[in-house]
Amino acid sequence: MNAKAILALVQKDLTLYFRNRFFAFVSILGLVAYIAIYLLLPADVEEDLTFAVYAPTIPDVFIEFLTGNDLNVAKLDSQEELRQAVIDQEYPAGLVLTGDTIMAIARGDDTEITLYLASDVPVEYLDAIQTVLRLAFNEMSYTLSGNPLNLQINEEIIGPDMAGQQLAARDRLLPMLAVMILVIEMMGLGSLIAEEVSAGTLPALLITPIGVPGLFISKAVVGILLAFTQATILMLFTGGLAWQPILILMTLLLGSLLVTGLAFFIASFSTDMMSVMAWSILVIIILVVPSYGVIFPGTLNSFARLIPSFYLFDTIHQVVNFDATFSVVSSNLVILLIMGIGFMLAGIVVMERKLR
Amino acid sequence: MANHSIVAQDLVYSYGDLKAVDHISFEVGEGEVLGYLGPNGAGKSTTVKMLTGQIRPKEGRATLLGMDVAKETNKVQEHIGVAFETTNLYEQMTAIENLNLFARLFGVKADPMELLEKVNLETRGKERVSNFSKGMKQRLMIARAMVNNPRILFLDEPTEGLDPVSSESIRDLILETSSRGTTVFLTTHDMYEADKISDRVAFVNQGKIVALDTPARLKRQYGQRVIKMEIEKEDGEIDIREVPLDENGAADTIKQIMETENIVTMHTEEATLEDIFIEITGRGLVG
Repeated sequence: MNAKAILALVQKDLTLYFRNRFFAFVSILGLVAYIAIYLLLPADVEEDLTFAVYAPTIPDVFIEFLTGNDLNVAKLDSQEELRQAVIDQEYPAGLVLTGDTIMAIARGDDTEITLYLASDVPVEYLDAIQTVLRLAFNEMSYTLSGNPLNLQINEEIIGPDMAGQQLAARDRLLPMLAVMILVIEMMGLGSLIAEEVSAGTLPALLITPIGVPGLFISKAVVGILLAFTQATILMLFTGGLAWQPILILMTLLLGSLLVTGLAFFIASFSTDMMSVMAWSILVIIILVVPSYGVIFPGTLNSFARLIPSFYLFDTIHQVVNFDATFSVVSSNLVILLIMGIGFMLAGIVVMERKLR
Repeated sequence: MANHSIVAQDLVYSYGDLKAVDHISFEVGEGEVLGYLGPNGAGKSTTVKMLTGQIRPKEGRATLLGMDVAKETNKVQEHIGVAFETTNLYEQMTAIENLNLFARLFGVKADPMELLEKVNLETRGKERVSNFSKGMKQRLMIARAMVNNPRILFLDEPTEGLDPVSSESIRDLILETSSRGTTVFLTTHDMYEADKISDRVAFVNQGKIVALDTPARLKRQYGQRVIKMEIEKEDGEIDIREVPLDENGAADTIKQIMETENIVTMHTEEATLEDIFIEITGRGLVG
C-alpha cells in the first residue's frame, strides 16, 4: 500500500469522524470542560498565612510587624470568639496576646505564647506560622528593646486532637477509591442501558406490562445495588467499616443513588458502549476533583463544594479517617441526599424523554 | 368474524411535519390474519407502535380486545405478543433464559421447552443466542412473542431474510396459531407471504390504507387473468404470448394459436398482490 492510499484513508477517517455529530460534540465539550476545570483550580500558591488574634490592647506597631511578615491578621473581640472561630475552621490558628505578653515582647523578656490550632491544620502550615511568628516577635523585640527574644510557642489543639493520627497515604486514598468504585459503576449501568437501546431489547421490554416506570425502578435498583455492594466490599476489606459502619453504609447508599442518577443522564446521551465511555470519562474527571482536597490538603478552594462528590469524599474521609460522628457529617448527608434524589429524578426525566 | 380483536379508528401519527399515519381505520376479527402490506416508510411500523401502546396516536383511537390502548396500555399488553423486525434478543443469554425472562415479565408460567418445540428449537434451548443463525433467532423471537399465550400476535416481517425452509416453518406456525383463535397482525412487504397466509390484506401507502380486502377479491377486482404461452418459432427461438382471458374473443385467439403455432408450454396466470399494489399506488412494495 503506497503513501497516497494511506493518506486517502486518513482523510476519509477524519471526514467521517467529524461528520459524526456525537464525536465532534463530545470532543469539543471535553476540551472545554478540561480547560474549565484547569482554570477553576487555584492558580496561585497561598503564600500569606492567615490567623486570628485577640489582644485587649495591641499597639499598631505590633500589627505592622506581623503583617510585614506575610501574616494576615484578623482581630477578634474576645478569647471565646477566637477559640470558636478556630473550632469552626474560620481560621487555622489563633493567638491571644495579653497586655503582659505584649510588654514582655517589647522588653525582650523571656516570653511564652500559646497558639490555638484547628485539629486538621497541615504540618506545613504549623511550621510556617511558627517560623513567621518567631521572626516577627524577634524583630519587634530587637527594634523596641535592642534585645533578642527568647520566645516559647506552645500549641493547643482545639477540637479533637489529631496528634498521632497522621494519615497514611492509603488512608488518604481510601475515600477516593470508594468513590471511584461508585463512579465506575455509573459507567457500568450507563452501558447496560445504552446496550438495551442499541440491541433493540428496550422496545421488547416496554411492550411487556413492566412499562416505563417498572423499567426505571429495575434499572435504579440494579445501579444502586451494584454500586453499593461493590463499595461496601471495598470498605469491608480496607477496614472502612470498622468504626462507624452504619454511617459509612448510609453514605455509600446515598452515593449509589447519586451515581445511578448520573448513569441515567449518561445513558440518555449515549448510543452505545463507546459513547457511554466517552461521556463517563468526562463526568468522572469532574467527580474526582474533590478528592484532591483529601489527598493534598489545602489545594482546593470553595468551588469544590459545588461538585456533588465533594460531600461523598468529605463524609467518608471524616468518618473513616477521623471517626467523625453523625452530628459532624449530618449536613453533608443531607446535601448528598438532596443531590442524589435530584440527579435521580432529573436522570429519569431525561431518560424517559429519550424512550418516548 | 363478528368479534373484533383490533379496531383502529381514524389513527393519525406524525414525526414533526411528516405524517407517518394519516387517518387510518380498520378492524381485525378474532382469529383473523391481517396482512399489512406496504413499502418501507409507508407507516406500517408506526401503526404497530400505536396498536401495541409503544406510542400514543396524535388523533384517533385504537382498541384491542375492547380496551383502549392509550388508556389501558398495561392491560392490553398482557394479551399481546410482538415479534419485532430486527432481532432484539439478549444474545448473551440462552434461549430458555430469554423465554423465562419474558415469562416472568408477563407474570405467566410458560414452559420454554414447549415453546421451543413449536419453533423447532427444542434441541438448542441451552445454547447462547449469540450462536444462533438469523433464522433461529427469528423463530425464537416468535416463541418469545407467544410466551404469554397472546390473543393478538403482531409479527413484523417475520420471514425477512430467511431461507425458504425457515420461512415456510414460520408461515406454518402462524397459520397454526391463527387456527387456535389468535389474531395475527402481519406486517410485511412480502406479497407472496401475505397472499399465502392472510385472510385479508391491507395495502398501505404514504400513511393511508389504499385497499383492504381478501387477496382473492383484490385480484378479481384489480387483476387480469391471462393465458401465457411459450411458442417455438421456425428458427428455434421461443416467443412468449399472453392472452387476457376476460377479453372478448379470447377463446378464438387461443384456438387459432393452438392450430397454427408450435406451443411449448401454456398456463394460466393471475395478477400478484404486488401487481395490484403497483396498479393502485403506482409504486412497488420494495423500496
